[in-house]
Amino acid sequence: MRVDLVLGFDPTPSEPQQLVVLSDVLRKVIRALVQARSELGHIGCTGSVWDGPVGAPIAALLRRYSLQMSALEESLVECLQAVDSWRDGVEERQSQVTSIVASVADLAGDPTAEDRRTRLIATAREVGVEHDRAAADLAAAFEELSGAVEQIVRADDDLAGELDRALVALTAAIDDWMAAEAPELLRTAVSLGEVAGLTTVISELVGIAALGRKPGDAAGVREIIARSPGSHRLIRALRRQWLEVAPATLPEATFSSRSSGAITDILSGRRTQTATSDSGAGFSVGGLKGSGE
Amino acid sequence: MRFALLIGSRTEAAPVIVLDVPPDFYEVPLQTETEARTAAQLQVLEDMGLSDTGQREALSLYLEALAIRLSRGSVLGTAFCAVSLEGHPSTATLTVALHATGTADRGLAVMGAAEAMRREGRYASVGIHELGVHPAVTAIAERPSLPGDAANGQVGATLREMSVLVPVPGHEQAAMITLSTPCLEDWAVYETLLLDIARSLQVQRTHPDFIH
Repeated sequence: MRVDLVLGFDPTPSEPQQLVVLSDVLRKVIRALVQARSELGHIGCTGSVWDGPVGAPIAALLRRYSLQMSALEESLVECLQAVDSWRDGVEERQSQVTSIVASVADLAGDPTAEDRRTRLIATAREVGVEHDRAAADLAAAFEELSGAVEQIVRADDDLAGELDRALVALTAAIDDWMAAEAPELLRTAVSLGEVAGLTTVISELVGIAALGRKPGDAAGVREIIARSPGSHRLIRALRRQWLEVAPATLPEATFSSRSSGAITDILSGRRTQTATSDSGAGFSVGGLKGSGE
Repeated sequence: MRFALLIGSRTEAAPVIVLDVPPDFYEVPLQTETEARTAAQLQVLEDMGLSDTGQREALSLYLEALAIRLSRGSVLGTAFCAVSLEGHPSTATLTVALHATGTADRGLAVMGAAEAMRREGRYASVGIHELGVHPAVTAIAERPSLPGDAANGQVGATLREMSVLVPVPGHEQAAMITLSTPCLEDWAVYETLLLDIARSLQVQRTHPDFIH
């Protein structure tokens, strides 16, 4: 039954489905803002690459941006509450109006029911006034949101410009650092890889790994052989296949659990034991070489 | 086992970097004193429970040759494990170096190192991570199992290696830890293990005599 045809006006115009869409969109935006703000808030914490003199200015700028996002988030939450409250109110008011419309329709053609019909229409008008007031509250919430956005846009600070300058400075610092330090760093990395390869030969000697070639054929191992006090015996040893004397059983790896937490537990448990190693009960303390002063 | 790396000179208050490593790893003895090194090598042979005389001799010779090779250069420690992992034999090596970064700004060192490693092109992937309280660079590469080309052109197995660079808090130094394994099926376990080891980095003030 069309409200405007029966009453001559619609006191509670609204499209409930559109309100559901609007509410969902607002929720998604708020969720994204909270996540972004949380990520930004973490910048500059201990353990972050921004926790240092070069990264700190960028972290500070992004934290300022995070504060602006926080203000926006508050306005959006108020909007969402207003939309939800409006939606609940609309449902209630439209239900009231539907009931009034049915009553007015029932009175159609009854000349004795004029007063009652007038009272019902007056009630519908009151519902309409309430509806308009709720609509004004909803509009006010969006006005506030608009103000918050405007405040961010009109902010005196030149966040983008400052961020740009900080990033340029960071890039320059990284370039300077690389020019001074990268060659030695990469040499160290290569050296570690070479030593790792040389250490892997031990796994062949104990019969664990068969890497599909003779270790003595590699330049790195030949260099080791040349430095060995028993080079001829080492050459002979490296020519042998040690798989036949591989240990029948190997100890189960203590780190075999694939969960990081389990490994951390193993390590932290062992650290406790190491702390008491003065009593001789803990794990041995590893070897040490000076870093070369 | 703990890798303890001395920063600077061997003075009473010299800071020491400590890394927790699971007891599965055998550290290659690198002591400069021959007597101490030999004793440590014998201990490794005992700990591994090797009974074959030839194998013991081979390993002993190789450990000594490796120690001589590592007496120069920046590598401070190397260790290996030979374990059963989910029912099959598995092995990996762990290698540690201390690298001067020229800055106490850990973020700068990490970002610079990550960019340098990316540009170098040797690594399949380079990333920046937060390992507990440490910013760190991780880099993964694959390469032939032995350094240098095999003289006969024979292609060996592939080693996958992951390096983690962790700047030392309060010092212009970074620990660089590389884990390498030919057991690619166990990679996920070793990758997690290496990150846990890097996360365990601590700086302690320990009397050097205690570290011996």
